Order: sequence, then structure tokens, then C-alpha cells
Amino acid sequence: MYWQQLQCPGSPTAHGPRRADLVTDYDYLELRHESTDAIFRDADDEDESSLPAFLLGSEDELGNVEFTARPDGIEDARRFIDETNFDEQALVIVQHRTDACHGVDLMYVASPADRFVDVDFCRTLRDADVECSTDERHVLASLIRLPYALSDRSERGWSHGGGTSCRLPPSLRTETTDEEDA
Amino acid sequence: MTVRETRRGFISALAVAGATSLAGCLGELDLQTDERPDLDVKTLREVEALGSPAFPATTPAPVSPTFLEASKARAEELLDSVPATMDSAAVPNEAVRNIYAEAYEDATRRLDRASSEATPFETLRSLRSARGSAAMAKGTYEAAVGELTEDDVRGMAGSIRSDIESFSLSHRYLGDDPGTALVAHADVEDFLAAAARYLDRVGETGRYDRSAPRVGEMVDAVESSRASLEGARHLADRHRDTLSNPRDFGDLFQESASSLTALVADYRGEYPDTHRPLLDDFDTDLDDTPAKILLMETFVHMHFGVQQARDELRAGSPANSLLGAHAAERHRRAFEAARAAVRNDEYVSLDAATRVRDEKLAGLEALETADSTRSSSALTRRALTDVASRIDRGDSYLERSLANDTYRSARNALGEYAFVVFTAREAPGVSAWILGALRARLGDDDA
Repeated sequence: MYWQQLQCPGSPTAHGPRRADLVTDYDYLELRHESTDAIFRDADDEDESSLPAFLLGSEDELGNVEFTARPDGIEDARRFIDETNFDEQALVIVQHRTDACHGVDLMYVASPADRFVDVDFCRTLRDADVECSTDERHVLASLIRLPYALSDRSERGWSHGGGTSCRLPPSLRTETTDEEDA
Repeated sequence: MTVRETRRGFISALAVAGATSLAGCLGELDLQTDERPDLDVKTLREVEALGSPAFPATTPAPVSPTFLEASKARAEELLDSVPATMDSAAVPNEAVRNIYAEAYEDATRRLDRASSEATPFETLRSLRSARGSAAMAKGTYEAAVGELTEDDVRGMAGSIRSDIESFSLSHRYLGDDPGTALVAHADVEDFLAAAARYLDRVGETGRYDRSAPRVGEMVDAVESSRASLEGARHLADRHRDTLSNPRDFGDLFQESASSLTALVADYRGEYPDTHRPLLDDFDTDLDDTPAKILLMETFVHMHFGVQQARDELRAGSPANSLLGAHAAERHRRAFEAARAAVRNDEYVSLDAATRVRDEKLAGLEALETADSTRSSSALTRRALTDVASRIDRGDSYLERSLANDTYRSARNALGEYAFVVFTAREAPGVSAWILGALRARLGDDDA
């Protein structure tokens, strides 16, 4: 198509993941820490200001992840992690900083042929009756348990992204989807 | 904390890829060479200060002041029913309060803007936007204090959907003069299509997800849809009131749109898929020249015109399909004329700022000439409204980046002004091409 060739060189595709690459049978859990400090740290990383993200495929790799805060729900998170069977599953942990009035939502999980997994988040507004200030900063951790193991795939590349809009990318958008979404 | 369900359930029937706009891609043209000339910035600033012509949007139907007053009153009523700011005791979430304050200010601004539009038709469109924004504020407020839910808004949308379908089925393409009726009914189609499109947004994911502002967005969509439907009805009624000997041009528009769309698609098929091979066909390297912008813009808009003609025909909007055919043929002719000019070594260099000034003046002249052509019609006027906006775009290049990259700004501005020159010149002839086809078919029908 003509306009596909008119896209600015180097710009990311506007189309999003292929439907066939979507992963839907994952488990998801999120934590909110009412502080700017990370909930999870990489034991090898001494930078305390960073918010590391992890793709974990074994108990050994899990050993490198430190719990460094105790927000509400931390025990549920421990259980979620402990219940992960790395022979059949993999675990993604992504952390975001946001203000106290916003959250994040997981938009989609995809597993294209050339990557292990891509996850995409969007920014959401918390309910109007949540007492919060936009000056206050929180850390959110998203835990995603994938239904396939790292050892199942040769591709190890993965990514996590995000945007302010929770509108699905064009490749995933249909009237049916939007109606259900609403 | 809970293990949450996400969108997996929603991602069940997926397809469709979206089109990408060309906007913002002119960076592709910035292949700088070391031989760029110095251009006089003062002269270029004076080019921008020449101003731009007023070709505000008009419609053949005489829009009633009473209708506009009622629409304005509706926007004011929506806005007056809620406070300018939210109380933190009522709405503890500061982000929601901030979004609401912005929505309220936006609605106020749009209402003010509607009062200063140049034509009743532009006021009509502006008030639709003001009503939508006022509804956004009202919906956000009421949802935040617990008085309105997404389900409530979905309930409002149902009756409008059936009203849109009912109007669409009963709409007749009445007119005296086919050219005037074409533009009048294209506007009715536009408002009707907008009514349906806004209503679709009620069921889509908007900027805000599952929140009070999301409810506001949905109310905005419902109100914008309602205002669009009212506008479509008003334009159709007012146009009908002007007719002394009304005829139904529905079949005429449909058949003409079908044949002219096929024709412009055939013309398009005679060119390569993209502009690049056409640029490479010249002996001169056109990168970094105004010629590239002129050729690329005319070619791309020919393509988009064909697309519009096809899409509107498919959507059951024959009048807008014919406007698409007008755009396709206008830009095709402009492209051919531009190609001949570039072969004649025009637009392949930019050595003096006065060249930009001269091209802008040529663009203004071409617009005036086209507008005052004896055969000028509502159709030409509609085309010139689109063409004239390119003067502003040229000016904006000079305004935005003159100090940072003088040559690039001047090159882009000159390319835009040249685009005006070449497309304005073709507008009356292409209007005659469309009207000739319509009248010939009308003659056949009468025979």
C-alpha cells in the first residue's frame, strides 16, 4: 500500500503485534508501593534508583531477584512467584513509576517468532474517589506468568513498552474488541 | 491486591490495519548538501507577513441563525449545569480534578471560538465541537460524583443510532442545479457520517480507560453525534427550502460517482505505486529542492483523492465520492503540469528569498483567478477552501523554523506555495469536468 511506504523512516510500526502472536492464557498480578523505591531489585545491580525488569526462566535466575520493599500484597506476590513452574512457565516482572492518581494496565502479551515475549502496558486513571495527589510518586510492579518455558524457545529477546493511551494498536482493534472492551 | 483479569478476553476477533498519515514526514526530505545558498531571512519574514487569503468553508444551504443560537444555548446549558472546578472533598483524586478543569476550560474556549467563525457553516461545525466539549465536562463531573455511569451513557446512544438510520434512509438528493446540490449533499453526508462515527466512539476505548473522564468522553461522543445529526437534518432542510424546482439527483450522483471513480482509479493505475520512481526519472537530483515537495504533494494527493472516491462510494456517500474524484483529477492534472515545469528546470533550485515571495504571490493570484472564473461554482469554491489552507502551511514553515534552518524553511514554504499555484489553476477546469459529466448524464436521463 502506498502509505505504508510513506511512513517516516525509522519510525516504529503503527500496527502492533499480529493476532496470531498474542498470548492470552497468562496469569497476572500487580503491586503498588506507595514510595519511589523499587519493589524488586537485581542483586547484581547496585544502582538503587533503577527499576529493573526481569524475564525469569529458572529458579537460579529467580535467585538474583531481591524483594526490597514490603507493599500491601507482597505475600500474594511471593506465592505467585513460588507457584511458577519454570519447567513449563516463565515469569516476567516489570516495574513502573507513576503518580499516586494513576496506575498501569497490561495491554497485551505477544510472542512473535523472533522474540520470546513482548509485553505492552498503558497508563490508567484510578477511581475518582481514591484520595491521591499527582505530586506523590508510587512504584507499580506487574508480574506476568507465561504459559511456556524459556527452554521451549530458542529466542531469548524480549521487550516491555507502554503508552498513555489504553486504545489497542490498530492490528488488534475491531469493533467487536472495542465493544467488549467498553 | 488481586490476580486481575486483563484484556485477554477482549482480544478475540482481531483484524484491520490502519492508514498512516503523511504528516510530519517531511524530515525525509532533509538530505542536506554543503551547497545550500544563504537566503535573506528578513525577506522571508516579509513573505509570511503578506498574510493568507480568507477562503472559509461555506455550504450552499443558508444556515439559520436561529438554529445556531439554539445550538449555542445547548452548549451553554451543558456547561452551566456543572461547576468550573471540582471540590476535593467531593472528588479526592487530584488527577481527575485536573482533567475536569482542563475539559471545562476547553469547552469554554471552544464556545468562544464559535462566536468568531467567519461563516455560518464554520460556526455550525464549531458549535458541534463546543457541545461535545461541554458534554465531556458535564459527563466527567457527574461520573466523578457518582451520578452517571458508562451504562447510562450507552443507554443514551441507542435512540440516536436509530434516528441516524432513519434519516439516512429517508434522505433524498434533491436539487435544482447539480453542482450546488452536489456540495450541499456532500455536507449532509459529512454530518451524517460524523453522527455515526461519533456514536461508534461510545463503544471504543478512548483516551481514558474505565474512569470518570472516560464517561465524559462517552457523553462527548453522544452529544457530538446528536449535534451532527441535527446539523445534517438542518442542512438538508435548508437546502430543500431554497429549491424552486427540486429533482432527485440520487441516481445521477450514484452513477456518476461510480463511473468517475473508476476513471480516476484507471488514471492512477498509469503511475507507479509510489512517487520515488517518478522523481528518479528526472535527469536532475531533486532531493532538497522545492520540486520534490511539489511533485510529491501533488502525486500523494492524487492517490488520496482516488482513495476518498472509492471509500465514499463504498460507504454510500456518492456526493463525497465525487468530491474525491475532483481531488484526484485536480491533483493528477497539477502533477502533470508540475512535472512539465520541473522538466523545464523550474523549482529545481532556490537561490534567493525573493523567489519564495514571488511564488506566494503567484499562489494568491491563482486562488483569486480560480475563484473569479466565470464558471466558478460551489464545487470550485469547496476545492479552493482546501487549496488555500496550503498557504497557511507554507507560512507556518517560515514562522516555525526560519531561524534554525533557513533554507529548509524556505524550500518547504516554496513547495507549498507552488502546490497552491498548480492545484488552484486546475480547480475550475476539474469542476467543469465533473459538472459536464453530471449534466451529460442528466441530459441522457431527460431524453
